[in-house]
Amino acid sequence: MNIINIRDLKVFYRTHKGKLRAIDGVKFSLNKGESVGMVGESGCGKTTLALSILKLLPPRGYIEDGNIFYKGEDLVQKSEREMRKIRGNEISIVFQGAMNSLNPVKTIGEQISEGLLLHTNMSKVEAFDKAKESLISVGISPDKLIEYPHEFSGGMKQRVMIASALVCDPQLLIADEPVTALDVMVQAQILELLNRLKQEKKLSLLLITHDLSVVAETCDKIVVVYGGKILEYANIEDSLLHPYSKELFRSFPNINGPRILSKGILGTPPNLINPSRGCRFEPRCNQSLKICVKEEPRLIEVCDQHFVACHRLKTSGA
Amino acid sequence: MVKIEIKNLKVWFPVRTSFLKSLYSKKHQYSHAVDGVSFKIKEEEIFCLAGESGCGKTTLAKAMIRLIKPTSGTVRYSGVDLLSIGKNEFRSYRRKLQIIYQDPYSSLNPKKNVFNTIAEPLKVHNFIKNFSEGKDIITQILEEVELTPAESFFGKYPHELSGGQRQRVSIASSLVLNPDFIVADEPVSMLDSSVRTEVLYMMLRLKKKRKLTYLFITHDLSLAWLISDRIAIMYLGKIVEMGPTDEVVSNPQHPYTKALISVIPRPTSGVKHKKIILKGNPPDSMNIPAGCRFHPRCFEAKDICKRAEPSIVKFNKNHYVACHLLSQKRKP
Ligand SMILES: Nc1ncnc2c1ncn2[C@@H]1O[C@H](COP(=O)(O)OP(=O)(O)OP(=O)(O)O)[C@@H](O)[C@H]1O
Ligand SMILES: Nc1ncnc2c1ncn2[C@@H]1O[C@H](COP(=O)(O)OP(=O)(O)O)[C@@H](O)[C@H]1O
Ligand code: SF4
Ligand code: SF4
Ligand SMILES: [Mg+2]
Ligand SMILES: [Mg+2]
Repeated sequence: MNIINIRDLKVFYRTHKGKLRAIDGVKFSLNKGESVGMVGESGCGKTTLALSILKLLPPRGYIEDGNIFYKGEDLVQKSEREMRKIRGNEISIVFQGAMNSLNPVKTIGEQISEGLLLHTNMSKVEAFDKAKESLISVGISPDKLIEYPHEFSGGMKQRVMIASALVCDPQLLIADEPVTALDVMVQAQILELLNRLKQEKKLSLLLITHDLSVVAETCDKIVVVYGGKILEYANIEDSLLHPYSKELFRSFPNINGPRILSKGILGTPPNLINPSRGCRFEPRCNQSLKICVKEEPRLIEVCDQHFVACHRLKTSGA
Repeated sequence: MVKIEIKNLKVWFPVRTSFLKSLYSKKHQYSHAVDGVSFKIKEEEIFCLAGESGCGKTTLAKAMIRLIKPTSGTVRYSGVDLLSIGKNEFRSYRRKLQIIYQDPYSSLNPKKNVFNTIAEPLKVHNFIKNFSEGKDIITQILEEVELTPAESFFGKYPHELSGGQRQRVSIASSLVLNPDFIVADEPVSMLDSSVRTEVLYMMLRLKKKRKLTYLFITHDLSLAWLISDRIAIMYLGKIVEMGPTDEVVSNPQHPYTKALISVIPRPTSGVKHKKIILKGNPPDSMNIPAGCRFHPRCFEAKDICKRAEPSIVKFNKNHYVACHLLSQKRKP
């Protein structure tokens, strides 16, 4: 059963140079209890997709077309009032660099229980108790409830953000770069925490990151995004097939592999205001064909539950 | 040839205590950021310093190039005792020792364009008399860091550059005085993965071309493994393990190193390796535990670890470790 089902979504930003096509025809679904990792270079549209699901786009951004079905209901059609009941309650998000957005003059306990007071009829005392439970579940001692954020390290603040995202027992957690810029050991602690919550609470997870290794260790499936498009969608055990995904994979240090520093993927990300007609990766692809300049490859299933958008891979499944 | 050598280097920061505390204790409190570190870096070597946030990496590196005054110890650069020479004499060494900072967003002045950012050190060190004189030098250095055509970058301000381009500009301004020892303090940790590899690749190319010696600071051990010749693992102001990178990564001896290596995320799923996730808070340099400073978080701690501090001993050729387990192992 899918919990999120996105159909042909287009999300644009109005800029002085014209419409910027941040999400340009995205189709994918996430099953209940599943964790999907979304990877791609900076600027490819990951955060925009997350914001679209919660309808929290900045003023210049808007959903141009498509549907976002959550448990069968289209979020695109929902009013702001209806969305408020969903945000933090059914679908929660932990933002990129969120740990810096804690309110310095409110205690940790007050901040975690805020969501409950908004979404439930709980009394302050009940909400505080629930906040305590949530804080314990992310591995922080309950006596910290009455402390202020400045007494916390970066890793602890990030856990507090996760605790407040989870306090209303949401069905889906969206985490946008939750461990980027954190220390290795803290990163390991947070990833372990996410893995545990996934199992204990049957939480569905959309994990957004540019770090492929983080996805490999935490998720069931992987989505590779490039220039506002999905290029590949696969089970985490499958070998990636798209030329871009392969390059991305090669540019990650792997201490179990050879000790060679890759050159990275040469070239620059695509222009999203005037995108090319053909495959968006074509200017950087070393395997391109004639057709790649003219025609955009569609995302097709090359083998069981493994989707790729590349002209070279059309027939390999047959 | 040894490029730089430090011996028993210490950096203690006095910590302001509350007025109340100062009434009943006359003793100054110190943050023992760097607490007795010794090592040598050979010419044209890439020496990596790794460890958790707050363990003292940046402080150590800054003390090595006299950006911070060490509390005690010695630093020898090409044989010269850098800490005993006067300010004026040090000036001639200053330009030979440069640092590249972690965050290209805050290390560049937002009000200065690329040209003036790079011309600044040239002027300070009297390489050029006025900004326009530096044009050739600046064009050349921008080409070296692959910002081409160079002239198109002259007038750009930091906010008009991507993260990778900013880091290239700060690398250019560190290299423009032709230094030979570079401290690179987490130079790529704020960059996106593919930009990261490009910048690293370029740094290695520059190292070869200019015969640079690097002290590379990172908490990312997979990155350290990829590029460095030797590695030192730091914990609460001390080196706990040091040796050839390959050897330390494939055969770690100190429990802390073992934990750090076990948590390196790997891009291949499937083979699940056992992770040693350390509990407890990151270490605090104001309250250094007695005995082995790692013992409260160590999963192999013995009784002796609470009482005696292990000294760093040779485990293998060029491979050093500070842990009691090792001295016990070696006894028959
Ligand atoms: N100017 C200062 N005054 C007092 N304490 C300081 C000062 N600078 C650093 N410290 C302390 O010294 C210790 C080491 O800090 P340092 O910045 O060297 O760590 P680091 O290993 O570089 O960490 P990171 O990975 O976060 O950059 C920390 O406990 C820090 O709080
Ligand atoms: N508020 C905004 N106004 C205009 N353009 C934006 C805005 N936010 C993001 N963009 C553009 O949309 C694209 C996708 O951005 P984003 O979703 O933040 O990518 P990611 O999270 O993958 O790094 C980028 O080209 C970015 O510059
Ligand atoms: S469609 Fe063509 S250009 Fe695009 S990734 Fe495949 S081979 Fe390369
Ligand atoms: S000396 Fe003892 S506490 Fe310290 S690392 Fe070795 S075993 Fe652990
Ligand atoms: Mg983002
Ligand atoms: Mg530092």
